[in-house]
Amino acid sequence: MAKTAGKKSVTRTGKASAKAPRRARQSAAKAAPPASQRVDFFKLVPKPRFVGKPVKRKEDVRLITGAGHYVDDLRLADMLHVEILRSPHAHARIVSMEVEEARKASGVVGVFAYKEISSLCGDVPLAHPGIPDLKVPHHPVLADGEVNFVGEPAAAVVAESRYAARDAVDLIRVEYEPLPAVVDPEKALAPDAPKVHKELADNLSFSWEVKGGDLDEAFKKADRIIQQRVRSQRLIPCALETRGVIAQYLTGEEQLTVWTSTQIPHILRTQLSGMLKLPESKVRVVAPEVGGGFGSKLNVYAEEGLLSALARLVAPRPVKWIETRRENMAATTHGRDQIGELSIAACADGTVLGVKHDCIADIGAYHQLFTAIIPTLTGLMLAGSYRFPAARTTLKGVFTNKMPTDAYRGAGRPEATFIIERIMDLVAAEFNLDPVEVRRKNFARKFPFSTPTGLAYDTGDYEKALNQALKLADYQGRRARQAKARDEGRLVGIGLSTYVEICSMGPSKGMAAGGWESATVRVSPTGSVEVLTGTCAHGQGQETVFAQITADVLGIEMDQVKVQRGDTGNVPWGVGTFGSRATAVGGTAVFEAARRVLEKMKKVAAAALGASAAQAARVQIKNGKFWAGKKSLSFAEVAFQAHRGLVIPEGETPGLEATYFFEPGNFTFPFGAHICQVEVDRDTGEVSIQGYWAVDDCGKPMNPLLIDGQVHGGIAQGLGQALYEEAVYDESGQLLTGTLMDYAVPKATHMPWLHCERTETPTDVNPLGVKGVGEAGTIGSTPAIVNAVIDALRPLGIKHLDMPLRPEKVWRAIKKAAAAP
Amino acid sequence: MIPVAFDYHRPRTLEEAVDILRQYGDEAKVLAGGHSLIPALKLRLAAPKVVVDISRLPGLSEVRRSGSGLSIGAGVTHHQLMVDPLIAKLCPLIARTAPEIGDVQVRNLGTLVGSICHADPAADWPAPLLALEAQVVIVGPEGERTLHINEFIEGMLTTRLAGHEIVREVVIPRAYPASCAYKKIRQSASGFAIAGVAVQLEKKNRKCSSIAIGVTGVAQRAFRARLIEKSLQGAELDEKTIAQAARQVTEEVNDFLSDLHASAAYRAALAQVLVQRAVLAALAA
Amino acid sequence: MIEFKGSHIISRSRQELWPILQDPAVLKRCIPGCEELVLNGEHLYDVRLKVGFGMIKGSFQGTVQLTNMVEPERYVLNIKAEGRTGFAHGTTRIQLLPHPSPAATEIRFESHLQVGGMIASVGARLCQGAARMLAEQFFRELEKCLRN
Ligand SMILES: Cc1cc2nc3c(=O)[nH]c(=O)nc-3n(C[C@H](O)[C@H](O)[C@H](O)COP(=O)(O)OP(=O)(O)OC[C@H]3O[C@@H](n4cnc5c(N)ncnc54)[C@H](O)[C@@H]3O)c2cc1C
Repeated sequence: MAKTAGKKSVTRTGKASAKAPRRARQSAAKAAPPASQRVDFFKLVPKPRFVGKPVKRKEDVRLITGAGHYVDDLRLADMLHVEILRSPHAHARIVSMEVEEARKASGVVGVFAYKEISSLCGDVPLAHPGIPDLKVPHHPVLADGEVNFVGEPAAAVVAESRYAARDAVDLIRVEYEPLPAVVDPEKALAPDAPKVHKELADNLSFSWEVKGGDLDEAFKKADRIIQQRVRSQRLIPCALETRGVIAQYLTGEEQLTVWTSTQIPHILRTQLSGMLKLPESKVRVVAPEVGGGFGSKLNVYAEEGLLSALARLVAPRPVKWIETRRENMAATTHGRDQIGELSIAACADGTVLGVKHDCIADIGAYHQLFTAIIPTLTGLMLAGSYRFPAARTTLKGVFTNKMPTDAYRGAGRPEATFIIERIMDLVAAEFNLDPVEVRRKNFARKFPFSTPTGLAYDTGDYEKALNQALKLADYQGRRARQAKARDEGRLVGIGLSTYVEICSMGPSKGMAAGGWESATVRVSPTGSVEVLTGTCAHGQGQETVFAQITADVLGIEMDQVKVQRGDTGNVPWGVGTFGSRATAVGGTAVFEAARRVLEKMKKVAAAALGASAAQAARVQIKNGKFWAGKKSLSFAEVAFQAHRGLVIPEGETPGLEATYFFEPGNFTFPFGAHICQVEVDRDTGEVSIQGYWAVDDCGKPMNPLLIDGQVHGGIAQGLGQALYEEAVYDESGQLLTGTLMDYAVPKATHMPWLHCERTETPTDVNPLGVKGVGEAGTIGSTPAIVNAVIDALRPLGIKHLDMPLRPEKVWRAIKKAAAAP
Repeated sequence: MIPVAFDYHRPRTLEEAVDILRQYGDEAKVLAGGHSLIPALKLRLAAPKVVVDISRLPGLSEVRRSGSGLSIGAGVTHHQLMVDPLIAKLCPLIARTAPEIGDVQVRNLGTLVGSICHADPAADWPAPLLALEAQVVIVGPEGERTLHINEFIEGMLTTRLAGHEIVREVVIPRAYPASCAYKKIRQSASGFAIAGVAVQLEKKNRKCSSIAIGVTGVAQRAFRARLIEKSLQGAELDEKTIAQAARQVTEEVNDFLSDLHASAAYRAALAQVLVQRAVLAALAA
Repeated sequence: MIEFKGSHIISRSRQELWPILQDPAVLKRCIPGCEELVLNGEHLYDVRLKVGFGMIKGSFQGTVQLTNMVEPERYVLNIKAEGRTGFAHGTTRIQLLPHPSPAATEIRFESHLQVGGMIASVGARLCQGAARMLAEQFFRELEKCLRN
């Protein structure tokens, strides 16, 4: 996640206002290595056999046939099982806890609460966002006398079976003294509001600001100032695989191994070592198959620390905990939950001059890893794809008695895009302009483009994507047909969003935990190739893309390449998979490492073939062979020679392996245009999607099939936010949407047919020219759908509705509009 | 899934099943499709000592002719009701309701009888079954008894069924014509009905000679919209008449349900809209 | 938060009804699923309940306390119950109003119940109905008691 303030961050410039853009731009320009020094992928491999092709996913055979191994599929000898007692209260003091009965129950090995664990495991950590005066409460892995949200772990039972553990949880008697809970973040800021954390002065965890440009001027010059309040509701990420942890501590070897469903094994290893006060060398983290994360596994969780501590207590027996869906909904990080008050300075021709955005982020009861950072991304991305000169976001992060929020697909950018794309439509409605024209009027057109918030967009051609989408959707014809439908009294709406987002996180100076990525490419004596990546795919298909890149660079087949990830025991170091960074940053590392292996192989081949200096300089690979002059060696023969050690070229060492740490010079900024048509049922408020068209630009496409997959899934989740999903807590802090029978993730039947196309605007930030596409669909779709619904309701005078646009909300708005004079 | 431990029985005959239930009474639970019971077991909201699986009892998974109507066995799944030719012929309303339930997996395992035994106020089946005057055939240690569906379902999650009884079948006493429809608004998470309306009507010379309207999802239990039926009986069914009659739905119920998915006012409005739409659709069918 | 109110006409005068409504034996019979009700302080009872709707059953332990008593007009029933599947805390204001027909009373009640834990997060949509049914059951039983 992008770091947002502090000494070297990108946003210091933003914060420092007027000078910011230039400095950010300079740093971006400086960071991109001079073209002369860089070997671009498509220069090295002008006619790739795999990259750019719709290659089927390598991982699918095992995943689809159920042959992959997730945490729950791992069964270690002598394994014990853990079940967790969780708070039923949003806020309560633990008066007493009786565990004797549970301890004596059959099969139970032990029952543990804070006092048994606290000496072994410290607080749940956060990546410090560099926000001054950030208030961080005590966040133990098991509640220390007080519980602060429904689902907070209060005690753990270790038993011979999961059933015995679960039965014993029911035997623990806790006496709670309920305390007043704060649920509404705005009310939480009132001076007399109950406090979530008694040790803190109030519920304000942090304030932050980013601004640039001359706001006063903008608001003075504006023809009109439009005010709007917008909400990005609280969402539950709902990865298909819930979380799960196995931990084992081998006393003799002094080695802790933690198998966990995570997106960031290396960061987790570092953090666990801190929590457990074990040197990192004694901690190994393994992420087996990970069944989705969407940011919810981009974290360090209480349970990961807890299981590690329990493993030490029952060493050397391994302990296993598998999260139930209900736990997942209550106690895995939630997403979004921001309220924004917008002031928009706009001209009658549709030009936006400036935007003020006062944001309250409901962060829940604690800080998780990136809790504070996510909403700052909203502020940073507030300019969207537009060139209005002035913008300001003030942000208040507020504690409430709910599950903490953190990254969820898009992480800060869906919120920003929702705001800015609603703004474009609000402006269009205000001056009765076509929303397409308002966007055209405001598009950024010169790149690198400096935003008033201090970012430097790498490359882009927003109008091209928009034009292609308009054509794809037959926008003109559609508008004409809409007019006709309106005449018939039907509520048909067309909405669009022309988003830009921030990806391939990122340059280390803009990241809280390092923004580089590592890769090792290693060739065995028999010529089989291993790629070790520090990224940690959890559904994206990186195994396929990295094999495509490696196979193309080395001139071999994809099935000769085995991609390994997720194990700190064999991957040298890494940052992880999030922020649509894996291909752009991790893929580049793979490319660079493979290129180095290739260079060495060429030298080894030349030496082994006894090539002349001139021939050695022109070794080529053709048909899987290394050619020096008229003589050739196969890939495997070269690999063997490198290991055999008899013909080591000058200046080289034996072996065939390269590791590369790629540090990107900037973020990348993918963009696109999404268009949606809906019809609203006047009598029931139901929204039906009649068509969906998306043109996305993620730079150079590595694998169109995977891009489509990412876009489709992303749109599904964005559609979920627009129409269905909302984590609902009642006024006492009870989570009412605690199962999938009440929390509405979109299902196959909710999905419209998606018409997806691409434009290609390569980035210069990395030698692949690739930007990232993991979140684009989520970011682009939500505002397109909401804009379509509001457009449908426009004849009734409705200008805005908060998400999710559930039938009843729409129905009420229609009724209210009908009743209005 | 980590329910409380239970014993699992899979009797081979209905008699054997009844016998097990007689032994354990309220401690036992019948398992049919399991799509309501198993979630409750997993959450430990239900913790029976004994589970009696009747899903494979011989003869229960059939739709049969029964007099001039038909009988739906306790093992018959929602999916079977979608595709069964006898149902399509004799009782098309059932065939039109079945595809509206849940999703493919739910329809493949869940049963009509299981649904009415569970008596979820948001379930779909009670609406058409009320409209069709269905009879519920119950067997127990003391023998057999039959209850009208309206008596069988008492209220939210409660029926007249005793702990040691099993529903053997649901009987639709006669054949019905194709002029029928089921319309529902789904709760977007579960797919259950926020409101559902089943209409079965019969026409004579453009006039409605008989009409039955079952409404589900909007109140503690499903009900027949008697006032509306009365207004439409014998009337010529044009849009205006139907719309006017549908308005009376608010008088049919004292308390419309209100929950996080839909308020009472919204449910009342939906019921009205769906009555109109279902009657129109039944006319057109 | 579950909020609901209702009223019920009982064919007894307020004066007659008042002591009946405080009688532990009556309360035990009428409170749905009540397995145990023991006096444990002034108008304070320890209770054990087994509440069920169809297959869904839960055991609860807690207290029922009567406060703000103004004979024979009104009182407040404070309920606290906890079980493995969750908890319910709340108050029910009860008003006894004279009814036009002789020797009859209208009992009006207004409940505010806070439900928490599992039952809130998986059964929110059913809680309101459940509470209503429990109230109805209470009055049905009360009428039965009075008949005998
Ligand atoms: C995701 C999901 C979506 C759903 N969507 C819908 C929907 O849209 N509409 C809808 O109406 N329903 C829906 N359902 C419920 C579904 O239809 C269930 O199948 C049905 O409610 C119960 O039937 P069953 O056969 O699964 O019963 P079970 O779960 O096996 O049993 C339910 C209850 O009935 C009792 N029982 C079952 N059979 C008998 C018998 N013969 N005699 C006595 N007692 C018996 C059991 O003991 C238990 O108490 C959904 C369920 C799920 C999981």
